[in-house]
Amino acid sequence: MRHVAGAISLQFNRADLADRASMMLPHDRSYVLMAEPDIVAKSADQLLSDAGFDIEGILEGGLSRWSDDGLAIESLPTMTVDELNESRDELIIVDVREGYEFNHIRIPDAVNHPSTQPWTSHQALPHGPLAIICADESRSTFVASVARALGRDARLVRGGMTAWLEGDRPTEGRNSGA
Amino acid sequence: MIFKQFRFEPLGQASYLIGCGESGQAVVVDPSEDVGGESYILEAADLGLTITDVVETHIHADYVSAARVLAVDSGAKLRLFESASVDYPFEAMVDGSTLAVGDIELRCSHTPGHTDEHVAYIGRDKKRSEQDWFVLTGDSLLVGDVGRPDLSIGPRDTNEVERRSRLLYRSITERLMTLDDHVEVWPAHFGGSRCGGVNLSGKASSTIGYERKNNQVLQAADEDGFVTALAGSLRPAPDDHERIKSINMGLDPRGIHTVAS
Repeated sequence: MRHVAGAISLQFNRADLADRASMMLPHDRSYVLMAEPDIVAKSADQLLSDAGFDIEGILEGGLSRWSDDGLAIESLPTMTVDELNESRDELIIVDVREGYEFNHIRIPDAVNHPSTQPWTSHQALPHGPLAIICADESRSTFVASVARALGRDARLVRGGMTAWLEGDRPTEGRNSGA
Repeated sequence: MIFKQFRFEPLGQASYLIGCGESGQAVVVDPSEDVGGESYILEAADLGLTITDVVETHIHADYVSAARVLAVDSGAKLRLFESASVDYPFEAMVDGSTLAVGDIELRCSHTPGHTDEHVAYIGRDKKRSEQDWFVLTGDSLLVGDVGRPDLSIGPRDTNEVERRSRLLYRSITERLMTLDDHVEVWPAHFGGSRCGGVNLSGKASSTIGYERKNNQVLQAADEDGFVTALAGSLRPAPDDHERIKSINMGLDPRGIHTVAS
């Protein structure tokens, strides 16, 4: 998952991008948007500007042009659910789904840190090697990108809880059957 | 699998966005300038998909295609049947070749008649089954009707219309009607479209089994009966069809301007 260093990742959707951004991103700074193709970035620009965000502009040509121009690119570290299962003792599992989802079923010893909290609450993310997980990869990518921008040692769990629950892996919670 | 039909009601035109949620890839089939290239890109983005392929079942004569502009704007590959006569580059599909979009597989079936380069795409979701699930019929088999065989550039030629009627009969009976009854039919036209005849249904999807039993034109006893029935059921030709076809072939400079603007 390649990105410009320090970038925050938020899933695009015309229906609720502005609502999620208003809930999750700070208003006291300006933004440069990147999405591929450019049409998606332009749509996000419109939606976020209408919601009162200060948008400097879009990065035309997206990551491809950024990379073609030889500018620095980082990769968000990722791990599979099997890799997570093998190294559970060495990692802090941060489950960024909502509380009701977390209560329903979760990985044992995971801590709940919902992605929809206000921006400043992410300072409270635990210190140490973090494995960030949600139901799939959308909300976890956001929190992982925030954690990385805050200088934390964070990696994304590919496939999320959906992938975790596909195999015979340990769970706890109201619906875990344990 | 994500499967979305876009219907442009004024022209009775249907286009498709088909994506694999797992891989995040999507293909757009028969996009229309009336819907607009941007709409497909933003709809795909809303669904978490990136358009990797843009496919045409044939070169259309009744609406301006958005295929070229969509392929450029999305960075997708533009795919036409190998014999398509157009003035721009494309990736050639051949009869029997497959297009994989994540877990989805579209198989190209050459089904000439409406036009010579016409193909249908037979689709599967390999994550669920190796069975065929749906067929994008373009202007070959329609709901209640079939695509008309008489649209082309140049003077109307009855021998040419008959030649294409016979090709259409064979394409439908030998290629499409050999599919299982449960296979869904998703055409490029419905309702008031001038690409169909008087029997065209307002419903924009069907199944092979339902059309086998109930498609009016296909009830003809044999190929000659089909040719006669088809000739007697045509609607007036679409307005401006020669110019639209020429735009879609990349030949009309006004059309290039239209497409680019």
